[in-house]
Amino acid sequence: MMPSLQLFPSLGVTTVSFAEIAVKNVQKRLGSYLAYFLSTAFSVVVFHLFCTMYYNPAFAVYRFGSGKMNTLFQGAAVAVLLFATIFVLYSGSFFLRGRKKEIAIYSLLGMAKRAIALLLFCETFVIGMAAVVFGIAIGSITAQYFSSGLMRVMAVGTSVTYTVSPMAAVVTTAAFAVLFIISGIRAYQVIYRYRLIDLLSATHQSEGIPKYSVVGAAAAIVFVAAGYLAACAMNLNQAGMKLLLPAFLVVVLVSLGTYLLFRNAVPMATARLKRKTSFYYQTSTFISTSQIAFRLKANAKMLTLSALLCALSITMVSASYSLYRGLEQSADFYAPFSYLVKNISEEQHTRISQTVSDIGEVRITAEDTIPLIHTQLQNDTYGVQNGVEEDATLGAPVDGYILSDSIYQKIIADTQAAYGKGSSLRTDYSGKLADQECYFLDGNMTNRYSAGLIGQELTFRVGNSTGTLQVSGISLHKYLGLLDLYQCPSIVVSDTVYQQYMLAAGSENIDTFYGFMFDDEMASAHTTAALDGFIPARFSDSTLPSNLSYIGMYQANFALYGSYVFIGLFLGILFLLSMGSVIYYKMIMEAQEESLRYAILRKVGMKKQEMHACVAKQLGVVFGTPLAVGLLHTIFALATYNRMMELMGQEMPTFANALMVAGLSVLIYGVFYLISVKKYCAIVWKKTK
Amino acid sequence: MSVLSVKNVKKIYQAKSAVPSAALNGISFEVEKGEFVGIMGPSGAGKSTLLNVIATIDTPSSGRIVIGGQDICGIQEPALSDFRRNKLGFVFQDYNLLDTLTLRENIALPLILAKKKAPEIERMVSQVAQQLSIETMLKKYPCEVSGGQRQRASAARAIVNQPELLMADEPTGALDSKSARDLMECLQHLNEAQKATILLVTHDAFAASFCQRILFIKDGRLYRKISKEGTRKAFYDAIVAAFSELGGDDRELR
Ligand SMILES: Nc1ncnc2c1ncn2[C@@H]1O[C@H](COP(=O)(O)OP(=O)(O)O)[C@@H](O)[C@H]1O
Ligand SMILES: [Mg+2]
Repeated sequence: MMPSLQLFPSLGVTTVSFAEIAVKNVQKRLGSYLAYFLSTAFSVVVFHLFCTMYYNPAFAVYRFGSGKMNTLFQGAAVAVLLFATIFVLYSGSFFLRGRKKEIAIYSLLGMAKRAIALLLFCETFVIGMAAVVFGIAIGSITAQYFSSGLMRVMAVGTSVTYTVSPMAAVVTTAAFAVLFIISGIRAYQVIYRYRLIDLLSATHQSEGIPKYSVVGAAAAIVFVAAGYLAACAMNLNQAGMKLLLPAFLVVVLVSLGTYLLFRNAVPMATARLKRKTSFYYQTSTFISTSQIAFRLKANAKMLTLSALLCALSITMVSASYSLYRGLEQSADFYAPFSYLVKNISEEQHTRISQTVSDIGEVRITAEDTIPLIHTQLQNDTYGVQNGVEEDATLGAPVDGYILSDSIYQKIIADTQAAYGKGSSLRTDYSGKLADQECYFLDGNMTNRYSAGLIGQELTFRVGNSTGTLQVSGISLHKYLGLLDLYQCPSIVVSDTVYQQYMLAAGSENIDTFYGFMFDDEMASAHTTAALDGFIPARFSDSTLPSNLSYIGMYQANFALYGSYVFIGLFLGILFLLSMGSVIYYKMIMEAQEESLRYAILRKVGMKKQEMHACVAKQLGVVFGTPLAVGLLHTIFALATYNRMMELMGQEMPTFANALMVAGLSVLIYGVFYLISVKKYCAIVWKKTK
Repeated sequence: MSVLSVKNVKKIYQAKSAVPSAALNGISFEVEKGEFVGIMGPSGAGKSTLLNVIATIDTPSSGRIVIGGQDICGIQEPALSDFRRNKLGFVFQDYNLLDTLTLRENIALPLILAKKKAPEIERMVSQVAQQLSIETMLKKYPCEVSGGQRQRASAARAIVNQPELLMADEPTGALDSKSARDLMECLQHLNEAQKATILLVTHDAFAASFCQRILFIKDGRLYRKISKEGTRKAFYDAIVAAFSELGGDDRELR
């Protein structure tokens, strides 16, 4: 009676019909095949982009070492792998779900389970591998643009060379082959595990509000809180496994907590909401709540994934951005002058002006001659710290400098030092010093020892003469940059007092600095190099320029930390893309399914605006909850990062920058949300018309 | 006063490659208030098309359709949605219930769209659920109840806002005979007790025998009308006879 039974009597014949069936399948269901193909290809692109960076020879040191950067780098590798796994399995099962009915029909027609399974396995694998080839091609092209784009926004000194290594393609192919095999095995299981009836009703399966447990919801909160606490309490002054293990623990706790949150707490809230009929029985709330509740179970994983990716990307981008800003600021901090030299001859001095104008790259806008008198300063409550952790020895005489009111005022004006307190870049000096007064410029990094000096007497010695002055004000201002004033306090005195001790000191007790300001210090690389050619080098450290210059310090900083910034930005943007792909895929897939429901709603008399409002609300939840949870994670992640950076001796306004980046991300996210609503409505609308 | 008046309605389908084909070819008829009218015809006769244009789900190529004194061809969105929501109710062959909602929520849907207050919604839903004897099923999801119960929920949703005209497109098509009879009895009860005006499309003679009047259509034209005289059994026999005369395949009848 069933002719189709003869169609597949043995595997031998089936293989012939395989091709036919497969081709017909692909033609009939081009939409869902394409969606599967594209989403897979996208995750391949993301994965491959990461691999190209991971296997970039420039970053090889980070792969195997045990420093903090390595920990971050390896952590990112795990995150990307996790992303690819979840995403491929999700899109695989979504793809399969849409085909259960088709499978059931083959089965009803008498096709052997083995043959169907093989068919599905081959399909998944072939589409998957095609997506890999496509993805790697796109990924390689993107990598070039992506990195050259990043390089353009990065500073001049960044020494990252970007090459695509074949290793990246190999690893990507291997990783995805494994993933598709897993995905194929899952497809196999679907065929073998389910009874026909389950397959036939698969697309109509209502899940209702998934079962949730209050225990699960409580566990979610406990896990997340424990993760946060662990992050706050973690000892960051470690490296390698000692840092990696607790970090891993934190990640696992927070990820698990997030998943449980979406799996239990959100359904719980939805069930509560449903009970409040006066609120629930409003068109858009009603529809959107029920649609969301309907697939909370399936959504939990995706929402978790997007929350974590959201947290990762915002953290990465804002951490890198604040590091970047910090590097810029730290160039100011090391080199307030465009070019600064010490104790040069008159002949060298004229040659500087000559060279600058010969090259013509920049112009000298200001020039300061700064003769500083050597002195020893003493106060019973003052001392200089060696590093931030050690206590200072109090009361011992400290080597320092004396400078005059008019010189200091000129420096402030020329270097455009900001007005303010408590920072190495700011001063609140206002002049008007009486002859018995001085303004104290602390040689420490914090005002722990100098805050109490105001109004006190300070003893100083120049050569053989001593004197006392009353401190009228204090500042941490490093007017010549940190390197010349490290552990070296200065006092500003009135011009009369200064002249008096200048005579007493004698030339051997005077250091004369010459500071030059250029009109465009960022463009002064050639000029600086030419000047360094004849000015004797002051520093021989390979990480420092030979003489202090703004551009030199800037480049040195970026040579040291630029690859961190690069990797951070790269990964952050990568994760942002991944999150985009997750949400986009979800949206497209769901819009297709949901359009049938909206068609019914239209028939019942729902208006276009009402439909729009429903979609907006529904997507609002899908976008909003992961964002909110992700942002919360970000706060703790950044706090931890900040702590780590402080330990590394960087002072950076991470939170101000993070706020900016987070604001920008939310904005982008918001735009993306609006586009999604529009697209979603368009899909639904097209189907209901 | 007639609730529905269809005048010379045509619907031409213009496929991309094929020649234009007329699914409805100038149909005219009237339905009075409180009538229970059946539309029959062989497969492809244009029954669903007719119902869809009356239901404002589709638009006719030409002709006039007046429901409750209002020409529906002139109404634009969003007034059209309002009209559909307030004046019309439908029951579809494949139920068209939202699988994401419980039966109660599905039935409440038109009331929620009409922005009724929660207590009123509860009251009205319970009332229709009782009329269609599905009170005990209200908490379940569509996939958890039988086809007959699903169809009764669909009917409950269609009448919950007391429409001027209730339309059903082969509502018994996917039901077993017991469920079909239950459903038809419910509709008959609605018609008699509530004075509901019902337009029923079917090719099931048994279901049609519950109507007061049957319009036969073929190839998009009105072919014949018969009215109920005497018992339901006699009407059934008359319908079967008319249907075979129409050239409908006897096997289509049950
Ligand atoms: N969307 C469409 N496009 C083209 N032709 C259609 C469309 N819908 C229905 N038809 C044609 O119109 C005729 C009437 O269809 P329909 O009203 O569904 O018949 P039935 O009486 O079986 O419900 C059929 O010949 C059908 O092929
Ligand atoms: Mg039909």
